[in-house]
Amino acid sequence: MRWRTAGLSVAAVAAAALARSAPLADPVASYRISCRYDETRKRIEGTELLTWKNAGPRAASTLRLHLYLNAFANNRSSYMKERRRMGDPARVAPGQWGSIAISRMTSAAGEDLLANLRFVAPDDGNADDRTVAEVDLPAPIASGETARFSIEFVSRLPRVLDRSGWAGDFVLAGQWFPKVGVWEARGWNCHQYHSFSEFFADFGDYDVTIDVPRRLKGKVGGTGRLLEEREAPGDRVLEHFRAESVHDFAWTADPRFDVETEPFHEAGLPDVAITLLSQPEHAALAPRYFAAAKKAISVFGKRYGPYPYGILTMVDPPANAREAWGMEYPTFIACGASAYTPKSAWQRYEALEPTVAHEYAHQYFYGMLASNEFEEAWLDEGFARYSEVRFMAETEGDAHPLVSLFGFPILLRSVALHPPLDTQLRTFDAVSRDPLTASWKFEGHASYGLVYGKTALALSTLERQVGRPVMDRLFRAYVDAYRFRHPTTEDFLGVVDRVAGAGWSSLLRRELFTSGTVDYAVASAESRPADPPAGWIETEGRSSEVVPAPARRPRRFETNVVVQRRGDVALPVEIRLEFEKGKAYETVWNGEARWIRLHVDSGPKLLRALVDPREKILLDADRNNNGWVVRGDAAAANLWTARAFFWTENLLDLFMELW
Amino acid sequence: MSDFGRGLMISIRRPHFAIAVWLVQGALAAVLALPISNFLHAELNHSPAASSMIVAPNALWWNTARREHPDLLGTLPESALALFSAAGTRGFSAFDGAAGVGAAFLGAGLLAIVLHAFLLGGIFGSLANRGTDLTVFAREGARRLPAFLIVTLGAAALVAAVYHYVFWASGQALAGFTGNLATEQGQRFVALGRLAALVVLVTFVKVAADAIRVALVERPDLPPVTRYLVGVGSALGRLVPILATLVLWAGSTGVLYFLWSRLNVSSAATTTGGVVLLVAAQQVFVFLRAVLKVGYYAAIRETILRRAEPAAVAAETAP
Repeated sequence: MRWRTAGLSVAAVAAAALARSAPLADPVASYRISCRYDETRKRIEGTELLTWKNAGPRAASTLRLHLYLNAFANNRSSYMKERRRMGDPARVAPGQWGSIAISRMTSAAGEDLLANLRFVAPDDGNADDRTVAEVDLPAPIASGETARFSIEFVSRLPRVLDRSGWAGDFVLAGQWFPKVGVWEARGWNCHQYHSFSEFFADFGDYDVTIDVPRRLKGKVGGTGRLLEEREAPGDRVLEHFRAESVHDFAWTADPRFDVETEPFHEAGLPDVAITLLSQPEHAALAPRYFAAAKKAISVFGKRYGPYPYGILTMVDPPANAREAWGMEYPTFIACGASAYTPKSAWQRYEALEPTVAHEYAHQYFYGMLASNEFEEAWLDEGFARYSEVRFMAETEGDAHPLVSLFGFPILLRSVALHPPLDTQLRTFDAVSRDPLTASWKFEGHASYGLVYGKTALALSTLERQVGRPVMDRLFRAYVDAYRFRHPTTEDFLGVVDRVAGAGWSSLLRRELFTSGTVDYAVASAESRPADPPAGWIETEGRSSEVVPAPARRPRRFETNVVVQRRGDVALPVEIRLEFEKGKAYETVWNGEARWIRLHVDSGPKLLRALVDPREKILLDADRNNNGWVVRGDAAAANLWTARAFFWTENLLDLFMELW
Repeated sequence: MSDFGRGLMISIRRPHFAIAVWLVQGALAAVLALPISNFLHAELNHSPAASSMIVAPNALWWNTARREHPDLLGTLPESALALFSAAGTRGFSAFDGAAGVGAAFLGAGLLAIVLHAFLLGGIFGSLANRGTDLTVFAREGARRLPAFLIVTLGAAALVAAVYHYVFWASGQALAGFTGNLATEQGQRFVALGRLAALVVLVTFVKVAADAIRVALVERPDLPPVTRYLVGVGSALGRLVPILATLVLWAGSTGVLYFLWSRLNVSSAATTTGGVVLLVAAQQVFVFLRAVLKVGYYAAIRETILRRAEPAAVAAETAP
């Protein structure tokens, strides 16, 4: 199947896509773009016909446009400043900056709008940031009215930076054209380009023709389906794409790409034509790419609902374009993987299968639901992480750590990482730094990671509390209700209460939207021989002094267990006491107080006390204090002390031997 | 092969060398054993996770323990991993986050350098003076400590310099080039080249240091500086047999580790009695390593001191 001709791919793709007809979403912002890619100068010159419908409740007298490539224009942009502030400055060599400029903009009546264009910075007021432009309109556009604008633009792609750019001959053009913001009741929702956040846009139809050098013929992939590929003057080729009911358009090209297409077909789910554009050095990875994609289409199709686009394009960027790895666009995902990372080290960033699963999960939460990622990134990234880890746990099982010795990976097979908790332990490094908030307001990389890890662990906690079938119903109801409708946090929490039962959303709120930690601990657990009755004791109305007989071996024990809530967030938690003779007692503590004492006057001897014995509360920051075994056993400590002593001897000896 | 064999025979015939090495290593590690043991007993004895940790390491337990007890090791594991990463680390300052047992480990490492000089002084001195007991060993070790310490510290400084100026600096210099390579293979090839340069230079420092130690003991007739030059000269002059000895030692040590990992001795240590047996097995292993180590140094001495075989002489008589 390798090196199929473009014609065959197109036929397969078109056949799959033509199977449906009715639009999935009302088009609000549609684009007809015709552009020319200058491979040498990494420039795209284009014309864009924007058809915009005012879907807001009131008239719009201005238009705001995203000009995202200006984030890479200089070191004064908010994006560059944020990266520097986070300790991860972008290193851009001379000649490798990106930019986008509008050279002409007119209304449908031909009025020049460019003279009234100015740059605004609604998020941080940075006057040097030119990623959002505002244009005064000659006349307000009434609610429900449609307007057309003609725009000419020149984009210069940067050496690949955060999701977009070139590396050698490879190009991934994302956020490359002037794109209108979202008009809402409160005004324009059109955020600047930030270091962390991704995007938000209205749905629409895209018709894009890209003029590329002939050597890229058959080596171009993009959002939607490739309708036509035809010769053009000057040794060039026109690649004509069309995508309906999407909210962005990205494309990629690389003369080195190996292009393969395989169909996905499964009863009960729509067919999907999967195209892979991969690096020649990754030829051996192609079967894994397709297998992962098919499995993800099947699993998520059954869980979240059918994938309606009929086409999925996967890109395998080269090793020198790591900043283009792991990015989602409608019907189009940039994956990226290392051929040297074993399959079982799937918790790693460069692992293939979880990347495919994660990016494909975005086709639901980013693609079809299309929540506002600037303001509520957790609704996309967190849900995608939850889906990814659950997918990997179900398909691959445990992961194993990987250490790198001078760049050469060594898999530690003896150590198992049990998902979902063990594979996301880094979440706890920053769990108390930030609540989930707008993407650009996080303190740093680690705390922005909470959008992924904390959300995923909170959802896994909910899943364990309400049960997997309820969780699946919940997600299906959410996707069904809010497809193509840009749901918010409140929408999701409403579905949680409706499907799982009232009250669960308030627990999710506590977990996600505070910076408090969750930590329950068995502070003490003891069982001592119960005192038999002694002294003046009344029985049947007569008081007599009872002198207990000296007991040889106590049979009844008094037990005291204190469980503490050491974290800030109170969640209901199960407590289990296990006694001799196989007896056990379980209760659920609401966790509101700081501690609870469980007391047994007289009973069998306590063996161990456990808080959260079924590991339901995955956000518990310290699980090591979740249990207490009454009769201690030093075997494990002795074993690991012996090992530590032995390896210390060996390491010190190796240290001596170097010189 | 014959030199390493001869060295091994010397090591076996004079086990007090290996015993001394083994005792020193044990004493060094013992400094760290008590705080590790106390921590593990406090955290594990009453933990429900303990039973599972006898079977396999528990990543969740360990990660949580490190997060909740940041003063146990500090950032030593991360710093060590960074040291052995493809990029490398700038220098010793990378370890400034080590704390607790981690910092003590670094201290023990520095002490190990000093004790290493003492042990080698004892081994080479005893071999030169045909000493057969620990008294001679200790006397020779102490007597030669200053000179051997200079060599050892010098070699350590050279290795650090090689790491910094060759491995790390090349990584920095080639970062742009490597980052622009489109294939993983290309990037790995660059990493491999830098690693090869590091290994070659560190090996030469090691070989030269050992040859200088032999010269310091065996050529007391020469002025001090000349002994260093003779040492380096003998290392260069007999580079191939010395490298062969080094490779044989490294190989046999590697085989020992391979066997240890295959035997998986610690899997049987599920009870206190089992742990006692495990500790005994571990110490046998460490002792065997010490025997190989002494064998290597004896072999190096043999290699350097061995006279060249007399050339075949063609004799003719008058007719």
